[in-house]
Amino acid sequence: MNERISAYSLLVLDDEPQIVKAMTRVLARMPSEWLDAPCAVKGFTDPHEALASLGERNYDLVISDLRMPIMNGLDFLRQARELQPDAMRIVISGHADLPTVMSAVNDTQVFRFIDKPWNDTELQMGVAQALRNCMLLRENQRLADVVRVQRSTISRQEEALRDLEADSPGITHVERDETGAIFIDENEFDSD
Amino acid sequence: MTMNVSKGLDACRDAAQGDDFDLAAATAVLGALPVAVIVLDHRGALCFANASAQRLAGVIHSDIRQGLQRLVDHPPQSDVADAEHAPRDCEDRFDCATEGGRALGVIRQWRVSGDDGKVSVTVRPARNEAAPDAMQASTPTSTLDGKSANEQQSLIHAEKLATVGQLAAGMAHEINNPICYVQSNLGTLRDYLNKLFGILELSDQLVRDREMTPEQRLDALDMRKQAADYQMIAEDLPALLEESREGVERIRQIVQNLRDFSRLDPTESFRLFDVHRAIETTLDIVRSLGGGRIRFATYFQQLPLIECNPTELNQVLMNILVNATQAIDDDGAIEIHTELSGDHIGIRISDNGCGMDEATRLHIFEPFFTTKEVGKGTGLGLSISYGIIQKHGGRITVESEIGKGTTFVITLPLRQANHGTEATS
Ligand SMILES: Nc1ncnc2c1ncn2[C@@H]1O[C@H](COP(=O)(O)OP(=O)(O)OP(=O)(O)O)[C@@H](O)[C@H]1O
Ligand SMILES: [Mg+2]
Repeated sequence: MNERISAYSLLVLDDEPQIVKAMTRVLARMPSEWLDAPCAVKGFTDPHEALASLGERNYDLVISDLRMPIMNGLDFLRQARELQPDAMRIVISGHADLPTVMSAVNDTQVFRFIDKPWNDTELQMGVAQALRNCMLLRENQRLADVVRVQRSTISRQEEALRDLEADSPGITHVERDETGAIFIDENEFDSD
Repeated sequence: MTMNVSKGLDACRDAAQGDDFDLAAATAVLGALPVAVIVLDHRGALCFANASAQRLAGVIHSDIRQGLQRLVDHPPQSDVADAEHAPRDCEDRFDCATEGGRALGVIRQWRVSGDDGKVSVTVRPARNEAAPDAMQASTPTSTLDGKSANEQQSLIHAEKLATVGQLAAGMAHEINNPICYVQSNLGTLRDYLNKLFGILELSDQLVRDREMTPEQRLDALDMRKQAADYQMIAEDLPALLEESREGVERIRQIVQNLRDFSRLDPTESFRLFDVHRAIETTLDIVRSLGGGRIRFATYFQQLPLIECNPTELNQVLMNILVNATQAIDDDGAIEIHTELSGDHIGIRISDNGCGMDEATRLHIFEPFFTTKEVGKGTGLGLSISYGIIQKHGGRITVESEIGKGTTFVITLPLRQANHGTEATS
């Protein structure tokens, strides 16, 4: 039922290229027991380029630093959410104060905060959970869509019948005799 | 300066009486101030301390009352009734607190200074902008020279501590990043090594296996290599090592800079020093404050070594550069030019930040003059820099245009006429 994917697509953003590379390495060696497909990571150091990429292709997970010179990490995540609401978001930061954390959770619905310097296992685990969550949400959505489509087909039929009945009352429940011929109540003609 | 306080307060009091000012409201306002305010009565006894002052007292002593007492425990001086003859030196707490036999509110700044963790207290008189004549009466020279060498030293140290504190947040970020990736890369390295050893062990077995044909051995080895991402590891390993080495080097550099800068050796005297090295060291530290939004450019002319006190020179450069980064809002540029002219060198530091108006420019070298919000600026940076340059027999001047930027020019002699002692200007 759940279509299998060949690789998860991740976006990693940090103003420090070495951090992007180190993180990419950690995600590339994600234990296979934790995730059913490998992670394909695209790394960025420029938030604008990252946003451009978000406008072009689908991602399952967006990971971003908070403190960056060109753009505030929260602003970035907010825009990322507008572009791809279905992708998960993770923050990696060495100095998140409470207001920032609250804003991240409430406004940008960040899935997880990971401290800097990160623990490799923790990072892998967080990412794996986010991706599994992402797949679950997608599956839920797909099922919900199926149900909605079915429901709307049903209600469309109902609506058509109601219109017909309003036009010519009684037409939706005509009676037929055993040969299939329409049974007409003679009284109705009289009163007309 | 003290005179201004009294004038200002008198004016306030008159106005207050006119409008039937609510004392409770005034107390509430004082209570909410982020600066510590303590009011003493005419005998010097404590009669009011706002919340900030109490918090501060709590830091000094576990018992708040005792902490407050520690802040005001200078004995009253008998001869301060005459405001004209009150010392201009605003270090004297009590003079500012009671003047003409009346209780005055004063704004105080406290810093922990020195090695013994003792609290040194400095007073910042409330400034009265309407009386610039009195302000001019205290030039930085007279104020700084009025202090004993010891006091000046502790002021310099205090200022340095404040700057270091300001830098700490930036530095933490600076150091944290390389630690992040070096640590993570070490984890990756271990993973790579495990895989490589796995391949090694297999080839060991294969070599000893008499039953297999060479083709079979090669196949088995290739399969294992593929499974272990051998190709990727071989390509990535040199980059991983180089990035990690560079990260450790970065940490070493930051720590070295910080140590250079924070070293305070009162006995350190004038010696021959490379100005460009001082500039580079300081720039490295300041860069972290700019958070990458500021472009730094240096234009160095060939310079001989000059005779100076390197620690102090670093401090001057630091103060001016920190001010420049603070003057720049979004993105901007800071340029540093050096040149040799005769028996002097010139250092020109320009920023394209907010600049300042004439009224501000006139006062920037005065101690405690600041336009920055409470907690951000002490107003000591430039006055101390001025004192240091003066001591070196040099000059420091400023040009500024509001909205355009600011340029500080420092000239220093190549040799000290009379080194080791306080040079006369
Ligand atoms: N580059 C600059 N551009 C604009 N204004 C400046 C510049 N440098 C100094 N000033 C002005 O001079 C004032 C005094 O500077 P000073 O370094 O003495 O104290 P401060 O920077 O306010 O406090 P501190 O140095 O303790 O942080 C500043 O408050 C600011 O108004
Ligand atoms: Mg300053």
